[in-house]
Amino acid sequence: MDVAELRSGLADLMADSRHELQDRFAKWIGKHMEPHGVAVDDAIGRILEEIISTLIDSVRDGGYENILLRLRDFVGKPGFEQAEAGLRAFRTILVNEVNRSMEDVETKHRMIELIYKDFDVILDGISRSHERMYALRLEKRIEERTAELLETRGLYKGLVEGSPIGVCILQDGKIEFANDELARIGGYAKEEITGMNYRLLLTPESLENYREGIERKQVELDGPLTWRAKIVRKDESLVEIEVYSVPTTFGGRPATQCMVRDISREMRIEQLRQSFFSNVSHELRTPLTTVSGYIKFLLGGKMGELNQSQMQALQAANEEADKLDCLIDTIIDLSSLDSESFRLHLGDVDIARVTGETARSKESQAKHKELRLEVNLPENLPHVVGDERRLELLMSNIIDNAVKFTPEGGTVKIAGYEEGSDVVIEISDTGIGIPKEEQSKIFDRFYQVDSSPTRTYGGAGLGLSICKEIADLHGGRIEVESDAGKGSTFKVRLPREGRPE
Amino acid sequence: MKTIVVVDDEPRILDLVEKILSAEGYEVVRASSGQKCLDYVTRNTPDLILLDIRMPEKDGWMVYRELRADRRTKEIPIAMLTVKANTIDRDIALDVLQVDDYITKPFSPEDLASRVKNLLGS
Repeated sequence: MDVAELRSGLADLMADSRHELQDRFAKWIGKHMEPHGVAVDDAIGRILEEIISTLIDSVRDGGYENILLRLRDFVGKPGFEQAEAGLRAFRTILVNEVNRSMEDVETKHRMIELIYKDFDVILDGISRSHERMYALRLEKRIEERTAELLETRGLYKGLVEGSPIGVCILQDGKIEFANDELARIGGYAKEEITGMNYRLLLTPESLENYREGIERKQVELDGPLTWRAKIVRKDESLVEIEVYSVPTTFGGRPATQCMVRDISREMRIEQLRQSFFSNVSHELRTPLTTVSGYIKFLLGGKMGELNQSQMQALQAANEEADKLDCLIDTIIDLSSLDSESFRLHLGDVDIARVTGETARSKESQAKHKELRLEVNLPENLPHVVGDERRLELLMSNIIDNAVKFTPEGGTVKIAGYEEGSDVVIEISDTGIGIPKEEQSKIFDRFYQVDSSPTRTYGGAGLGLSICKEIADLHGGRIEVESDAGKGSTFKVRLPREGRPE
Repeated sequence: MKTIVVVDDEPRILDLVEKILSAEGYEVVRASSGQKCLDYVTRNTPDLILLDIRMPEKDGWMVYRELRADRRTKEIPIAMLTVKANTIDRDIALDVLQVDDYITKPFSPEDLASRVKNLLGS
């Protein structure tokens, strides 16, 4: 019996017992594959029928392409991982069938040998399909993940590269990474600035400041820090920068991530603003000097005796000229409070003494209106940390207001005491008071309770807004209690220890 | 009679100061620029110089330095007579540069006269 006859015999045997083979295979599937999500239903029945037919054909002509192609359709489908086990099971079923129905022992052995040989080829084909399938799956996953990563990277790259803020990573004294804006600020090409020693960029002064303070502070803080520096650009021009730096890791080692903003323009504007105010002050005060100087000179009788009405006219002019001078002071002060470069000149302030001296300087004003000025400031009142001149201005403004808004014969009381962790200076008057609905607005700039053109009280309405800003800068606050018609009480609270800025 | 040089680029300020100080019996010399003041002191030795700070060309500080650097003029008392700016300027003028006085505009004639009197030590 040659191989072709053997194949033909085996194929006939399989064809004759195909239903039996199918039933037993279906049983095996039911037992072993249902837990893997393969249900034995009509669809599986049809597939088994088809597979068995294909197997019979394969066995008959010794070609395995068909069965392998057929099996390849299942690649990636549920249960495919079990196809190998299924074929091994079918091989056993088939061997049992041959064993059972073949009588000629030699033919039986040759047939079983053939079955093993054929199935080895098929199983080998399947396991290669498996490998290919896993490789494909892996490739697909890598592709997907890569696409995701590229998208995320593109997003962040776009955000960083396109940012109008300079971004860089500093490590071991070098700029390890820089975006376009950072390169632009430094005046270098990105390739030039990357890898550069960042200390070379800073001016000697900024470098010292960086080494002496910022670097150490950053380590101590282990958090974000904002600082300013000057850098020398490639063309040797200077740029002022503001840096927001955060500790980070880069390449697995500690580094500093910086956001850098070019603030030269802001600084120029600030300088312009300051010089504008300084010019305004000069331009307003120069003519005022002549106006007020001559008025006072005339009033002093140095240019001849004046009659009563001439005297009164000049006195009115004199008072207004003095007010104008105060107003200019106020505007300049307010502009300096707004200024970014404004800093308190901090020191130990004996607030009782400062308030007392300020109150004394108002005595003549008070006497003029026949007001009683009662001052009760204990000498042992705790000192505060603050800017003496600013605090003096604060007290002066509030006492001025009290004197201004208290009718003749009234009383202005100034007291000082401790309350909790605060030192409180209390200024109360028996003046016109402030209606409840106006109380929240009195600290607004240019606000006057009576803003009608015929108002009784002068002033630009700037005083209290300055007071509020000064108190804020000292970490304190001003409270007001008032009843219209009964007078007002202003409480200036300043922290005993001082916690300005 | 004591001689006082007033240096200011504003003629009306010069007028005003001249009137106030003449009335007190001083001889007032007007200088409308820093250079004119420096020219004047090469030939004369005034008893006091009242010096504006903000002036075109040579400002008050330049004039001040030149006067202090010159052996012949370094003993002349100098008071700055300037528009009030920030308090830091004043502190620097008095503490660091050691000007003899720092008078701000606007000023009252009485105050000006009494300060001048003090500066002249009479």
